[in-house]
Amino acid sequence: MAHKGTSTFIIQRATAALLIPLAIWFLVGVVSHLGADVASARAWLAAPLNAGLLALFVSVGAWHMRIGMEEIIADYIHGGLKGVLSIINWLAALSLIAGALWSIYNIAFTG
Amino acid sequence: MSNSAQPTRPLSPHLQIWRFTVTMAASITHRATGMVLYGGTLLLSVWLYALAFSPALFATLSGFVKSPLGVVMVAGYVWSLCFHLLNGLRHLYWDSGRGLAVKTAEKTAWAVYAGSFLFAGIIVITGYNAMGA
Repeated sequence: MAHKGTSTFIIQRATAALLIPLAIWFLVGVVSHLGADVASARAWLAAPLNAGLLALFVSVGAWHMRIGMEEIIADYIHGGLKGVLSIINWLAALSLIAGALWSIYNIAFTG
Repeated sequence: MSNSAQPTRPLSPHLQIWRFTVTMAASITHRATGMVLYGGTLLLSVWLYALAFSPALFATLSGFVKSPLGVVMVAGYVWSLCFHLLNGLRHLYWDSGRGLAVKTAEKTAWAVYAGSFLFAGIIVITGYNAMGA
């Protein structure tokens, strides 16, 4: 990802700023439903506001995570392994977003 | 490389000879909590998958969350998010060019540690009380 330093820096800060309210909502909302039974957890997440906020939190969070992990890889890993880990990092972020959105979609639209 | 004709060059300082400072600790903790959140958020997607598609797996996870290891993992994730969030505010404040004086940076680092434990404690205790564990 050469010559992308400035935009990566800006996206890292922008996602950080977005995550401030989202993380506060997440901490209060999701943690209080971690041990809940299926019916009440689904009912809570089926509410459009909660479904939308969780989808945003996971998507924006995944992108922030990917940038942070890329920084760690660049700092400590050299040689061929670096490229492999970078690809795994991308795949992890993309599959996190895809998987979470698919789950949330299912919960919100199938009752 | 280690040519005897060359004078021995100084090595860069290793971890064990750095003097402990709270700002250094906060910096390391920021990166460490970031890595915890990376793993924890991937686990969260398993919880979401279970909630959407597998009531049996969800029931197992609900039970796990109340087990000793589950409490440690949930508390660790919550504290990591509290710390990373508060220290992230500190980073954004620095990005504006303020708060960079050593004394100020030390005070805000201590405040971040204190605040993270306070908020995480409140959230975890209220959360577990609500689920009747």
